[in-house]
Amino acid sequence: MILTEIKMNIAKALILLAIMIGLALVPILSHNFVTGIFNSPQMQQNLNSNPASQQGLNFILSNYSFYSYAEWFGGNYNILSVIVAIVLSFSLFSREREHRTFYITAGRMTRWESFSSRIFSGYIWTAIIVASGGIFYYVMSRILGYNLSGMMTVIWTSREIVGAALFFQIGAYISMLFASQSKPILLDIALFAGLITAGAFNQTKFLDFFHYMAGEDVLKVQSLGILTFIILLIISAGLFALEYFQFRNSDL
Amino acid sequence: MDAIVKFENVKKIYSHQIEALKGISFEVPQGSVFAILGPNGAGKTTTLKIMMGLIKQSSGHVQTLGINPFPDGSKNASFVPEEKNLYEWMKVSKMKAYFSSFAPNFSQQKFEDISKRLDLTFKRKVKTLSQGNRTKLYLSLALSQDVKLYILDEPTWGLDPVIRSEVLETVKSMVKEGKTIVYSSHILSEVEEVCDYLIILKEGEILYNGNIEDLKGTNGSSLSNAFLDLVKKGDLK
Repeated sequence: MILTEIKMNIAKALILLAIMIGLALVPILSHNFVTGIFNSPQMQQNLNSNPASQQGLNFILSNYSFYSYAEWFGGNYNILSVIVAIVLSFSLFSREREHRTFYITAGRMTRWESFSSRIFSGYIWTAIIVASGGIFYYVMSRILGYNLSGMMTVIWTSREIVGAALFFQIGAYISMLFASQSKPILLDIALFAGLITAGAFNQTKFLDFFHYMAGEDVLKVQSLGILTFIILLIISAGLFALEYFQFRNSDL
Repeated sequence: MDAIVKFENVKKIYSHQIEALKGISFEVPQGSVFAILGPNGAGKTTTLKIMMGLIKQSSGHVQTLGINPFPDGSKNASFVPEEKNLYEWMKVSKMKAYFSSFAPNFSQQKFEDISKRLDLTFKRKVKTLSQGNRTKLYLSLALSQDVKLYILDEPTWGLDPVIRSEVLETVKSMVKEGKTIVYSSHILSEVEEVCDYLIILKEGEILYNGNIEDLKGTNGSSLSNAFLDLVKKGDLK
């Protein structure tokens, strides 16, 4: 059944995959252009008054891994991974409720089969698309002769996958609460913005797991941050269990 | 005859205290066509959904094919809901391939026979199908499962008289094979043609539970007259 669900979402997933790969290509191809701009005399002159910015910029210009963090892994890749999770999850159950198509599988599948096939196929597509963003960026960078750290790429990509998986699980849960598709996507976006905002305050900083996904600390210490990684996995598993319990006991 | 479905004092209260079923009890005999009739809002669809395990009764006891149907239903039952909603973006042939990938005991041969009998169009997408053609597709899919119990909610909705008569013939032939059909429809003439037993519901209560011939014999010459008589008496009560 998981395979059938994977096939059901293939069009949506391929579009997301194309967007991910296409956007991963942009910072690689524009590397010379971007470094050219920052090395220009006018820019250097402007930065003379701000030594901290100049130091940061010099790191980015001299080290391709730093450049990759600034232009891809800590930026668009991070946001895109969450968008992928939102797009794959918001209609997971809400569309079926809205169109009452759950009845197609009624009695023909158990609730577990119905639930798990949707969730696991979503996990698989999320992981494939997010992983492809990291892997494709690394492979293309190496092909074009740039020296990107393989270890950093693996860590960033792993963090993005686990973070996107958690957001997918949250999105799936929200999707189950509504019988229309517009409300879940709006709530997903609001939650995304809310969690980022929460990261700005000391008391709620722990909620901003996108900061962990982006992984600025990887530039200093090449560590997965195993504790946070496991905590995110546990939260996902907890949500999965809670969501199944609710799905199992709800009227369709 | 053994009962294939049993309802004992089943109540269903939706949110906002809407009482859809007020403690109904009945049994569906095996190998029969059992009709559930009633005016709009009587609780027919709620009864069928509880029978399939799609919704949970608020109290009372339900058994479908020997098990409590909630939450998983029985894989030996096939359901055609009132709203024949299918995946709009799929072609009819793809819808069949999808359905057959998970529906237990799906028979390709049976699907070909039934779809041919109902004159089903294959090349079009579901979203371009008329209401009648959607009903044909849903019926072809559901009746192609070789199971013991078929639960059909408004199975002839939107069908022309020729196809409607084909559906009724198919139902009759299935009963001859020992299958049990639970049938809900507003078209009393077709119910009269196929059904053996029935219940008549009104506002969540059973007005009649028994043999169709007994109902016709005591209350009027046709099912339609007997039905109207009972429902009007229910109004007076």
